[in-house]
Parts: sequence; structure tokens; C-alpha cells
Amino acid sequence: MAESRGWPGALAGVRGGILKVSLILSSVYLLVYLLPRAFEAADYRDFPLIGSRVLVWCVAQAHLMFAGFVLGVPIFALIAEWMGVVLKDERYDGLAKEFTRLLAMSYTITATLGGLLLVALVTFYPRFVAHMERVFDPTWSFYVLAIFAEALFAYLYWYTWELLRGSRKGWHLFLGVMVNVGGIVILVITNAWTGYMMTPGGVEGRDLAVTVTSRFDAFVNYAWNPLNIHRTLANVCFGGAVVGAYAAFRFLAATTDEERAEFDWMGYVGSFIAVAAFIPLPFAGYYLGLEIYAFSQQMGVSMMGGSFAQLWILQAVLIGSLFLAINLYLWLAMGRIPGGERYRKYQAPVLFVLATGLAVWATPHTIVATFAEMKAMGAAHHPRLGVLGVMSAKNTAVNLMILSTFLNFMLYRRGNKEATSAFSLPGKWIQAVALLAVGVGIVWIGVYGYFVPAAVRVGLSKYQPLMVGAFMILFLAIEVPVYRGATSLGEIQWGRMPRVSQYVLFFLAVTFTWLMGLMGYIRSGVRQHWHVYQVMRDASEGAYIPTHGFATMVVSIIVLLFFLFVSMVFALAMRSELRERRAS
Amino acid sequence: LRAVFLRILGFVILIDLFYMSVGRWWLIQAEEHPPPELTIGVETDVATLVGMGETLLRTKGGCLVCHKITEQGNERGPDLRGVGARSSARQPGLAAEAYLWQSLVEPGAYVVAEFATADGASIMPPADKPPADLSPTELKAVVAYLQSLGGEVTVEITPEDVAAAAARKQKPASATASTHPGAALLTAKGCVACHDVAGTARLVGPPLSNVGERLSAAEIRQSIVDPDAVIAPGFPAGVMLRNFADQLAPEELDQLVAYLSGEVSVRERLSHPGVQLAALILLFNGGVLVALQWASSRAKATAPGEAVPAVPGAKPSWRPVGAALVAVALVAGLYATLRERGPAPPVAPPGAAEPPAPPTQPPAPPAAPPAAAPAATPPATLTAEDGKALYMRTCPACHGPNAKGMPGLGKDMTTSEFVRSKSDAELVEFIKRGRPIDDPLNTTGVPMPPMGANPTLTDAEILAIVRFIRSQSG
Repeated sequence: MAESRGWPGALAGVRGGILKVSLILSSVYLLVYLLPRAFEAADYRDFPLIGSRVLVWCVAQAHLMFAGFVLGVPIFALIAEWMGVVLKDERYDGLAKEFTRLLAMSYTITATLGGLLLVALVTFYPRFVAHMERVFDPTWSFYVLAIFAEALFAYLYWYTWELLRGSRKGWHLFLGVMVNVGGIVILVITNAWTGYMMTPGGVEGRDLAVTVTSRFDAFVNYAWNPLNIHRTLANVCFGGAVVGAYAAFRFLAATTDEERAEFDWMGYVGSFIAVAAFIPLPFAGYYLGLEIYAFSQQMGVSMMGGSFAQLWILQAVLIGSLFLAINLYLWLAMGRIPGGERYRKYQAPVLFVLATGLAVWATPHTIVATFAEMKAMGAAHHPRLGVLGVMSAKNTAVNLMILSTFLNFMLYRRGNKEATSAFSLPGKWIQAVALLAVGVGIVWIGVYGYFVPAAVRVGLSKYQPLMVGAFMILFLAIEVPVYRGATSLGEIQWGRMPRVSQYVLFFLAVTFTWLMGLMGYIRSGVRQHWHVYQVMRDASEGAYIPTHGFATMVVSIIVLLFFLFVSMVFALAMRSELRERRAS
Repeated sequence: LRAVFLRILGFVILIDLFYMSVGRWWLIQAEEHPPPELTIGVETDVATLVGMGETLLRTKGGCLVCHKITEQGNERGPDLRGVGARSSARQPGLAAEAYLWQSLVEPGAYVVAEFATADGASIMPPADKPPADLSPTELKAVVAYLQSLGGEVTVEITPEDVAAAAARKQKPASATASTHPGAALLTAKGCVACHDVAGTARLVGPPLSNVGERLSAAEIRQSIVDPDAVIAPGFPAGVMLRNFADQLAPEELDQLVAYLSGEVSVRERLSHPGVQLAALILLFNGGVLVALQWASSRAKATAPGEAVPAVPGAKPSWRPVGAALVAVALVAGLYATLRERGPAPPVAPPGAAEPPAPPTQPPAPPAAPPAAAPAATPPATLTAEDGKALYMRTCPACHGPNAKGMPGLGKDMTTSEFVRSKSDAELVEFIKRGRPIDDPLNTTGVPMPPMGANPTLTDAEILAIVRFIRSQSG
């Protein structure tokens, strides 16, 4: 969508958007109404070549990725706009507008993919849809209402950007809040459906003979709230990463230094948002895991120690790669900061911790071995490497990696500053001693874990992140007085980044997307051969857990498809900006 | 720009392939299929039963997620090696078979101390409930396997076990079955015992599958309240219970009439998704159009000579097409909604309409030793008095209120040699199967539907009906 002049122009733009949503929803309704009548009655139907399961998998995951993007970006767009008002800095307003520019086409793709998903489910899994209809019938109308409301506010938010400035900026911020309220409502409704499939409640009976005893319990099921929190954070993280990729693309395609400076800053902010939202994400994941265990120990055990245990190795590779990429970006970014070269000496030790941590984290407990190899080892576990495949080693590695990355970021922040306060020296000494104490403490807990029973070991695991968190707070509390009144060694030279740094931003975006695809598969897969766990069996041909190789192949295809769609979004956003510049 | 795009695309593909290759080449590759369907019958010998038990333990039961049966394995639950020997001594007076059975269906009954949670409970889900969801025969197979781990196998499969397992497998209603409350009443009130609702067979009373086309709502109501007021051609008078309507609450009668006549209330029409979507489309599009009109007129008033600016990027050419399509969708949705009157959708044939509730109690206790039968496995304790109420809901249309039969319909069961010669379990099995019209032993020419066309009955409830029938024969 493009910006327009005056209220008539803005409302005409909104009309176009609402008409588009109406068209998509009407087409989906007609298809959903007509298609079942075109086929003979059946519980399942097959989709040629790839099968209905893979089709629904791909469409659902691609829809979720776009939905995550369009729900995540407005959150930090609003924050950036608000910061612009508070700091009286127009750059933030421009940044927020650039973020929002990416949303228009994304809404259309999200709605189209969502419609396709519904059509695919009704066509290929009619029995399952009939079940969900019986349980959640009253929620459909609210969902459609929320989609319309979200679209209305989103289009208003965009088209009135220039109209609601100055004294009327508050109204624009209000529209931004409403966009996010609409997004959150959509999120919590869909999370109720997804959560019900995993951890159902409020029903009696099975399959289609199900009776709803409490629609509230069906809606507010075990997984509902953890999903709300986890997905909100993940959406912000994912949105930040994709915005970072857009900025990287614009940086690489830029022809002037001004453009490079603008998109270098945007890329930095995007990646910062992604990393900031990424740090609390494991805690939200832990909450989700707890609720899954509370609902069904067996489901929890299948997820962590059964059918899906090996996929956590791939998750370790993904997150380890993210840590490496984030730190590499920070090191490259120090090149544009006068004085940043002073901290180059810390790169080697940080890299050592990250590489070792990744190697430990990605070491499987049970490695793929031939019978001869197993005989030579004397067991299914390697006598030495097997030791690294357990919780004590992995938790230690992860916490040291988080600690190193935090330190690296703090060094980046110090880049062009020279501390001059009297507290500088003692403050830095306190920070160094605290760092040493935390490092030793984390390693000690890790080693101690090998000598205590499993129950004690699991209990110990929470102390490591608590120590890291406490250290971060202490470090920041000292950092403020240490650098109060610091002298500047020069301004950050935005735009003076090597081109490879922008590929690192793309690496972050692809890896976050991959992580999302993988975790989505695990979350959905733990239901095993149930559409609705313990309530409705999946009796289709696809009701089995595929090999990890097959699953990761599907995820990689989805990621590729997503980026192809995203490239369309980028192209349209560029065209829109170009048109706007010409018009002005 | 194209070069940048292609370079980035190549880079994305490279990363994608790297992660995919980790999943493909680094991780252990195995498919995990749903558990196999095993056929376990009274004729299954002990060795086969033990083998099936092991298969179930490894697959459907999911037991090895927490337990182990070899040196290497999981230790979240007790080590099962030697459990056959240990189980006989775990609870004084409780035989190994009974102990194992109860530990499976009620894991919290006897928790091994070191595996109890902080509040003394067990983390194990009952094996007869999802996700393991083992049938009575499967549970016995698992018990047999566990007994074989160091003990003596005493398990026997009984016909009751097989019947209970078969009942669990019955398929629930089809996806197209109606969710109308009147459809459920047809089954719950026993109408389907005499009236065909699927349009596939001739039963005692006129078919109901298309009754909405033949009779008005008022006529259907009259036929229920006063069954002999109008008799359908070809069907006998005086068969349907005169007091049938008295068994219905007023709202149930309304629901039944509405379902059979295909009446759709205003409220139902408004709650149709097509109508709701149309309303939302009208509301939002109309609202925006009104706002646009207002803004345009204000703009013209303030700057009369200036034309309203076109929306950059929006192509006017497709807007009329879009509006026309929305209008078509609206009309189609409304039309589809309003024409949805007519014959009530058929419910699934009797026997497949609703799944019988899974047995709330396990089957009859293990045959030996009876003295050590676990507390969790007593037979159903519904009495003949309970059976009477169930009988009156299901059987009197054909067999009369006292089981003495109805002329030309059901036989007198109080004097029936067939009833006398069969055991309770055999009669339960017979009632569950029914007797089709082409059965050589069918001498009435009237089919007896499976479970008396009341598939909600459990085995225990059918047994109670059998007890009532026997009580009537003196």
C-alpha cells in the first residue's frame, strides 16, 4: 500500500484494504462451502504427489511465519514511534514507518495462506475440522471480527501516518495500540485452538462423539497461556530478524552513503530487537514445557527424551550458530566505532568459549554408531564424548555462551567511550571479579552435577541462569556510574560496515526462521498419532512421525518458500518507498 | 539489484542446505508409526499372548519411555526385569496378575517408593486411557508379558474381554452427522429402534429420513403426541407407544420436531457463518464507505476546485470487479443459508452412530485365582431395577413393557427358550450384534437392530437389561 494525501485519500486506501480482506474471506468461505460438496464423503482425502499431511504442514507453517511477522513488527514499530515522540527524534519515527511499510503486502500473504490452510483442512481433513467445529464453533465469528478490526486499524495506522502528526500524534499512537490489540486477540484465539489440540480440556467423549462440558476449559487449556507468551516473544524476535534482513538487502542495494547509513542503523536496530526478545524466549519455552509435563508426563518425556530428543541437537546447532553470528556482527560493527579496536583482543577468548560451547551443546548423548563401533566403545555412548551429551555439560555450555555474548555486547557499547569517572577503576575491578566468580560458579555447578542424583541435578540447573541474570544486572548497575561523563572518541560512522556484515544479518534471519520451523514441527509432532491428543486419533496415512531427515527437508523447503515470498514483500516495499519519494 | 538478489538467494539456499544436512546426516533416522492392531481372542495361546504383550509394551503402551527391560534403558519408572516374580509378593493377599492389572489401570494404587512424586503419586497415566489406551485384551497381554519376566503366566482371555475390546473399536459417527440436538434425541429416546433414519432399510415404523418432505412440522408433532391420529399407509396402527411424548421434556419435543421437519429458527439462521461473514463484510465496507463519503464531501467543501486525489498504487480497474465478487459471495452465502431447509441430514446407521462409552470398569476379573481379583476389576453392579429403566428406553416398542412381546414385532422373552438357554454373557453379545432380517433364525420378519438401536448402552447396561428380562420370566 502506498501513502496518500488527505483524509479522502487515506480512507480510500483503507477502503481498498478492507475490500481486499473481504474478497479473500468471501472466496475462502465459498471454497469451504462448495468443496466438500464436490467430493464424496470421507474422513480423509489425499493430495497428489506430496500427500495431504505435507501440504497442510507447509501451508500452516508458512502461514504461521507470516502471521508471526505481521503480529511482531507492529509491537516494535509502535515502540519506535513512541521513542521518537519521547526523545523528540524524527529518526525513530522514520524507522517505525519503514517497519510498517513491510506489513501491507505481508497482511495479504498471511490472509491468503490462512485461507489456503482452512481450505486444505476442510478438503483433506473434514473429520478433524468437524471435531474442531463442535468444540470451538462460537470462536470463529470473533476470529473473523478480529481479522477485520486488525485490518481496519492497520490500514488506518499506515495511511494516516502523515495526517496525524504534531498535536495529533497521540491519535496515531492510539491506532498503533489498537493494531496490536487486534493482533493479540487473533493470537490468543488461534492459540486456544492449537493448545487444545495438544492439551485438550473441557470436553468429554472422543472423536466426533465429543461433548463440550466447559468451553472455557477448552479455550484456556494447559498450553494456551504459555503459547501466548512464547509466541508473542518469538514474533517480536522473528520480526526483528526479518526487518534486519530487509535492511541488509537495502544496504547491499544502496547507491549512496546516506542510504547505507540509514539501513545500517535499521539493520542494527532490527538485530538488536531480535536478540533482546530472544534472551527471555528460553524461559517462555521452559514454561510451555512445564505445562506440557503438568498435562501429560508421557507427552513431555516423548518431546524431550523420546521420539524428538535428537532434534534438540539440531536446535543446539541453530542456537549455537545464532550466538556465533550475533558476536561476529558485533565484532564487525566495532569497525565503524572509533576506539572499537581497543577491544579486538577479547575476540579470541570469546570465540573459544562460543566454539567450545557449541561443540558441547551439539554433542548427542547417543551417537549414530555401527555395531562394530559400539563394540569398540563398549556401549552405545562414547566413553568420553558421551559425557558431553548430558544435561550438566550442555547447561554449562549454554550459560557460558550467553555470558560471553553479553560481555561482547557491553564491549561494543563501550566502543567509543573513555571512562573518566573516579569510580572507573574500582568499578571495572568489581565487574572483573564478579565475572570470574560467575564463570567459576557455572563450571562448578556443571561438574558437581555429575556426582549427584538426577533429581538434584535437575534442581541445580536453575542456578546457572540465575547467576548469569544476577551478573548482568550487577554489571549494568556498575556500568552506568563507570561511564557517566565519559569522553567520546568519535561518532559512530553508520554505513561504514563491510558487506559481509549484511550477510550475517541474513544468516540471523534464516536461522531464526529455521528455528521457528523446527520448533513448530516438534510442538505439533508431540501429539504423535492424535489430531487432538487423547481425544481424536489421526487415522490418516500420514499419522506417523517421519524420519528427522525428512522432517528437516520439509522445514528447509518451507524456509525457502518463506524467503521467496519475503523477497516479494521487500520488492514491493522498495517500490512503495520509491513512489513516495517521487511523489514528495 | 538483480545481482544482489541472486547472491542473497544463493546464500539463503546454502544456509538452508546446511541445516537440512545436519538433520539428515547427523541425527539418527527412524520413522515411528502408530501401534499395530493386534487380534487377541480366547483362542490366543499363552506364548503368542506374551509376544503380543511385549509388542504392546514397546509400541502402543509406550512403557519403555520410562521403564527398562534390558540393562540399558530408561529409569524414570521401576526396572521391569523380574517384575513377574516380584509382583506376587508386593501386596499380601494379592496375586501377581491382579497386582499387575491394577498397577496398569490405576498406577497410583501401589507406587514403588523411590519413583513416587513429592505427594506420593505416580507419574504414569492409566494404561486403559489415552495415550496408551489399551483395550482389556491388550491389557491382559501386557500383564501376561510382565508375568513372563520371572514369574508364571496365569492370564486367560475370556469372551467378555473380547466383547469389551470389540466395543471400543466401534467407529463414531461420520463427519457429516448432524450436530442438531434433535438428531441425538432420535437415538437417545429410542426412535431409531423402529424408524429408519438412513433411508436404507424398512423397519417397524415409517422411515424418518425424508419425513420433512412428506409432513409439516405440525403433522410431525401430532404424530409424536398422538401416534394413532394418522397412520402412514402400509404400517400397522397401535404399535408406537401412546405415552411416548410424556417421556419428552417440552423443549425436547420442539427439538425433535424442528430436526425432523428441517425447520430453521431465526436465531439459527443468524448464527450461520455465511450470514455472520456477510454482516461483517457489510459492516466494515459500509462503515469505511460512509467515512470516505463524509471525508470527500468535507474536502470538497474546503477546496471546491480540487479533485479528490486518487490513491497512489491502487488500480481503479479492479475495484468494480472486486466489489462485484464480494456481492456475489454475499448473495451466494445468503442463498446457501436460506435454502438449507429440507430433509434433515441422515444420521449414521444404527450401530455406527455413536461410540459406546469406553467401559468405565475393566472386564471381568482374571479367571484365576478369583480370590485375588483386584479391586479395579469387579463386574458391573447394575441391578435388574436399573435394567428396567434402560429396557423402557430401548426395547418396549417391539418387546412390550414387560418383555412379553408385541404381535408381529418382538417375541415374548419371558418364556423364550432361546433366552433361557443362553448365559448372560452370550445374551449380551447377542443384543450387541442384533439379528438382521436375512438371518435364518429370524422368524418374525422384523430386524432386531444391534444394541436395540441404542449404541450408547455399555456392556454393563446391557447386562442389566438381561437381568431385568430374566426377572420378568419368574
